[in-house]
Amino acid sequence: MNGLYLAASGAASQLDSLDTVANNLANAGTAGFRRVLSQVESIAGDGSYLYASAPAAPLVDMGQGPLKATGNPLDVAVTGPAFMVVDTPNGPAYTRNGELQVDPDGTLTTAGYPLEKDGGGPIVLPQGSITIASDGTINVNGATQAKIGLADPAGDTLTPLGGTLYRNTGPDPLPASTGGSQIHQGFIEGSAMSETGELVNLIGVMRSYEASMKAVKSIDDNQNQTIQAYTIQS
Amino acid sequence: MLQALSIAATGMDAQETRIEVIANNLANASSPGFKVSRARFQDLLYLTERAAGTQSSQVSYVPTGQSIGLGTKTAAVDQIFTEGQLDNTTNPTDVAIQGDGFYQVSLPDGTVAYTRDGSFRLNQNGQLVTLDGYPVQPGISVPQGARNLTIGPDGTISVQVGNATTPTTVGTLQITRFINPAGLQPMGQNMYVQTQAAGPPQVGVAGQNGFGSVLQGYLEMPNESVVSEMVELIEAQRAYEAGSKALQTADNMQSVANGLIPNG
Repeated sequence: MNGLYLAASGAASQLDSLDTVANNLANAGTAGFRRVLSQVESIAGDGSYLYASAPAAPLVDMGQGPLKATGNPLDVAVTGPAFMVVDTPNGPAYTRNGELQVDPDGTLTTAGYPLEKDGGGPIVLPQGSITIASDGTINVNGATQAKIGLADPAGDTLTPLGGTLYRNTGPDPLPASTGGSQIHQGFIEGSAMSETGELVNLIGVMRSYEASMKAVKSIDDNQNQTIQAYTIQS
Repeated sequence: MLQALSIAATGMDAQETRIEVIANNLANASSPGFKVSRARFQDLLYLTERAAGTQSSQVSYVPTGQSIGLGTKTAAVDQIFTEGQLDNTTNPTDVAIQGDGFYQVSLPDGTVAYTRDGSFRLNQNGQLVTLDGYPVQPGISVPQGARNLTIGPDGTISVQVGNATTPTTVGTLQITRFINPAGLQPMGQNMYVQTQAAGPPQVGVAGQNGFGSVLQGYLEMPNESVVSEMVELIEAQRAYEAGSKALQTADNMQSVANGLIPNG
């Protein structure tokens, strides 16, 4: 009977993996999206040799997304490991979504929250033509205004919040970027997700699920035969 | 119901929105002053099944949580206010804005709309109006029998009346700008209305203090590139197809589960 539950736990894990792949594919058009890798871990059942499986913590894949030229001066893409920092009511959040917007009072925002400048605080710009240098320095009409703050993630501690934002589960705030990251004006970082890769994952999920279900079916058939045998003897 | 079905559906829905926006951009490939729109997407909330940072034993913590994303949503469809190419029409009442700003147009209900479409005409009273007959604000009237209508880079409109050899100024085209033009509400007919998000309108003289200057005899063409719209279109179609595959897989998995219980 144990085997029935073991096989079912495999199938249930594959259902979670399917959700994750579907979410990755659904966000093919989300700027700065980071694909989530779903992982399955084994759990020791009762100390015996039998192991079941359970969905493990999904990792956010920190790979670079494709850069798309838009020509819009308010679009920026980050290359390298760093994230931009936004100020939310619940503390800092991190994003690679470079679709910047200007509030009526001149505050630069992204994903609906004020973008933080290097060293903290919002970026308030006067009206005029905006140029952004590769280190994040913003110039309006030739006058330097502020520098976009960048922070380097430490380990795999970023958790998706939705709305292209990530929260750090380690010590906040993340340390300021030490270099190796650049800002490109007029570009957007597209979704860091390969459709082909996700479609391959989809096939893998489907076949593993089928295999688990075959196991469920075989165990059920065996039991059925046992019951039949018992019925004939008695 | 498998959750994956609805997750995949949000993605397909988003790509539909994207194609609608692209279709509108392409349809307006020759509307003067038209600004290309882009649909912006964000990921939806994540269902947290195991929170990151919780204790996995007395001395260890879960480094990353188990969160399942619920799909995507359209966060905004906004206009990109970069400049379009200028088309030389030689029509004296066609005026393009070079740089930042909009013309003001007075609508029949008294509200003010903003446009970068400078294809103006004179109506039966000599008033400068848009192609829909809405007067430019502040109103400019050209007297009967005027010749040689000239519009300077600062928006000053002058004509020669009768046999006069010196030009007479009949009015000035004013320019309005907004700190966040992407926050303007498009109302069709190449016009926009002001919203809270765009900020208050700032009226100024063309060519001064960062306001755009005007150029007579030219029209500003849409700031879109048909090629990049086509690339967007291909991307949207492929992403839609990929979403439908996820939907199909979820359906197949459901059918495998249903097949476990034999009929009868």
